[in-house]
Amino acid sequence: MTAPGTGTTRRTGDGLTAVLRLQLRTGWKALLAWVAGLVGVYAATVAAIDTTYGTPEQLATYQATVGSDPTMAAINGTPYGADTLGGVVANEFGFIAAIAVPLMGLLLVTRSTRAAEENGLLELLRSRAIGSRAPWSAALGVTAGALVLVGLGMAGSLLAYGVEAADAALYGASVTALGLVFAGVATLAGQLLRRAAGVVAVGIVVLGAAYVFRAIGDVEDNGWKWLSPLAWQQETRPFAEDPRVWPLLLALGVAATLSGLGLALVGRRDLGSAVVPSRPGPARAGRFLASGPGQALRQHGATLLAWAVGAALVGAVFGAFTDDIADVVAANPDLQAAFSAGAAGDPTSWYLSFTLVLVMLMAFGAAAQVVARVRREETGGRLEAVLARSVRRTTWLGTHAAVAVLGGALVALAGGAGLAVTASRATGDTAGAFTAAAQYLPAVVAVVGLGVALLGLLPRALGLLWVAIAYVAVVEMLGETLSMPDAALQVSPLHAIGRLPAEDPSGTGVLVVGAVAVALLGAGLAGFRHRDVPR
Amino acid sequence: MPDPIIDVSGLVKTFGSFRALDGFDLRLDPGEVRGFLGPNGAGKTTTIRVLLGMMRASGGRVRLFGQDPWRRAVALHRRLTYVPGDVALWPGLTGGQCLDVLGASGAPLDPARRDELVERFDLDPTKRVRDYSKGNRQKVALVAALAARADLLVLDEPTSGLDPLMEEVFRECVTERAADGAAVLLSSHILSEVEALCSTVTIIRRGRAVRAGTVAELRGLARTTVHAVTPGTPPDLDGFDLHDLSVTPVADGGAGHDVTFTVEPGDLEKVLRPLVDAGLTGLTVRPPSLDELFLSEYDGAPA
Repeated sequence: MTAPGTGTTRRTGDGLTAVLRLQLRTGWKALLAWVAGLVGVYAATVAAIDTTYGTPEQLATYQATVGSDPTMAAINGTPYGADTLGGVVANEFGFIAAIAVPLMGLLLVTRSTRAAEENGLLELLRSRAIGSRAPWSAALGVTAGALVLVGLGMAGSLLAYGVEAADAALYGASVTALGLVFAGVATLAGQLLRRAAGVVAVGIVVLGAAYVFRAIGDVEDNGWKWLSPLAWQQETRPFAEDPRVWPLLLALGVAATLSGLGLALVGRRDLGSAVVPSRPGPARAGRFLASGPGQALRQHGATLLAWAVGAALVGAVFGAFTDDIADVVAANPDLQAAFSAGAAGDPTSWYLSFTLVLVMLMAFGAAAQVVARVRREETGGRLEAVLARSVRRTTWLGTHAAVAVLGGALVALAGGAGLAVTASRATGDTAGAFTAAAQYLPAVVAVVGLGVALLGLLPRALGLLWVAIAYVAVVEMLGETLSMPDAALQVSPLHAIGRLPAEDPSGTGVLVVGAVAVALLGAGLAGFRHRDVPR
Repeated sequence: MPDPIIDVSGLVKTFGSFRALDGFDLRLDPGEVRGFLGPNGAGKTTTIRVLLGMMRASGGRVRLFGQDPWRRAVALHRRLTYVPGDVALWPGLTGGQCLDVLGASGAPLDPARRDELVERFDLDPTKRVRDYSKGNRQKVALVAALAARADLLVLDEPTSGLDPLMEEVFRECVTERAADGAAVLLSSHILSEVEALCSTVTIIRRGRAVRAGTVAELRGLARTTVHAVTPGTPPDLDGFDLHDLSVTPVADGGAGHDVTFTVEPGDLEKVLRPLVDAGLTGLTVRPPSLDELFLSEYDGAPA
């Protein structure tokens, strides 16, 4: 025995380096995917914009048309410095950055902290010489490192195309700081809630609110935007005449405060507990819950409802801008010329179709979340108990797939309805956006189909479903900017169906998307019927 | 007397209005192997989590190596190892990688013992955790704990999921570690395991220690079971302090009787004398088993 009872123990930290190494070893794939994916798409955008808007005259045209397009202000944010390469890229990339960077901070922190705690992974770890804060500090450190790499990669891409170093650095730093704010949100929410899914949900609600406040601020040109971390990133204005560092400091300060609060709370609570405690529930399951569809609905219902409410709000808020957008376009001859030259024609329906893409991406996210949770039934060992009863495999997966389709459809239609109601003030058309959302529904089935096909055939590669949705987002938001080949664009079911409601839906597109969706569903169900469980 | 390794008195832990631990006492001295028993939900795992500084005591006094485990968890964990009943490991890592991850902090692993235990537990360290069975995941945690140079082993139902052969290996290894001088706190539902390994026992029920002592003391409290077959009507046994007495005619229709009862070991001779005098055609005496004592304590029957 080593010096019993002396009470002298070496102080060699709380195991932070051990946890850091562990998180890098178990999480490097996710870290690499985020960093490479974001920097890659960004670098490609820089290259494409440099080709399309190579001369000062071309950049001036951009400034006069897209740069003053209020549609863009709502979706991508205010385009500061849109007569420079960096400014144009920042604007074109605005939507992707506003969604992907916060999600990166949120998900990377949550997966190695609250998710690990919920799965019991921290119990053995904490029984070694690992302090209660170490997993959280390590996760913050690793995530911050990855975000810095993203910022450096973006700044590097700009430098390679001749953007001034100070501007490039400020832009990169502002993106890193945006991610850090959401890493802080995850750290604090991770102390308040026991379940990782709840932490992610809180983060997504914060992100949705940030997006809406930033859009209100940008379209109405008022101070609401200062409630939004997305505006703190944007308002550094790296490529405008007047770049500013203080919004960056605001973001870093909020990130540090949120993280600090979270870390302070970790040291005060029991392992596995949360500030919001769990409550007891009913002792018996009703007849509805005991049925297969009842279980599926109960499992996914709250998530889907939350997505639907979120989509309705996003649709309603963005629809309310339609008026202002029509006014601005009417007052700007350059913009009108640009719109009438394009295929779309009417600027308000062009704007509506942009917003509808947002709504559809939310519907895809909701459907994919259902599929991901179905997979966790299997990895968590609960599926075996279900299938050991007289439950047909295809019935079980089919029921969950049906709930995913119906839930995704609900989210899409709720968003379409929200959009239609508030946009009708400007368009006078109460049904247009809603009908368009309904016409996009085959795309929801296709997303669920891809998820079911992966579940049935390649369950361990289910993460590809999120990659596919990210790809659709890139196609819809950046496809034309990147001059992607038509074949690459057509892979997106939204693109295949057409820009609704600005264009009429393509009959062939609807048929092809529907046929692919059904084929994927069939293949997935058949594969699930014949494969090992669990795998 | 040496300073105790674990010194818990009047420990209270509440979750909202629920009192999981309600004035619980526990003591573990250096070199002692103590069984920690109790029905499901009695507070065993909560106690262990408080001892490990993962949960904070709501009241009472908790000392581990003379210090407060909540405030000094990290330093104290360099002197102990722990095996949870439900082992969760990182699905993408191999068993060998998990051992290294666990050994990277806390009580250091003895490399020679690590290799030896991997061999003895028949563990394939190149397999990924997601491909392990529950028993194999348990083995990873056991090897990590038993290979460590620690003064204290905290084991929470450590053999759940192990086959009998591996359970035997586990018993040998714990015995070796105890012979080296390590103290052991063994929470278990397998009474034979506790009887084989432990010198002392604490029984917890509804958050309180209802019984604590050496196994020999507890055996003294347990009752001996007697089954006698008499050729005729048995003698009157009313004067003795017998429990569970039953007298039934033997099944073959003769005059003989089956007599069964339990008696405190000290009274055994007194009660056997009239039976022997009356004549016996059969007699079995089962020595005191802890099972019955445990079961009655679990039940909450007054002992």
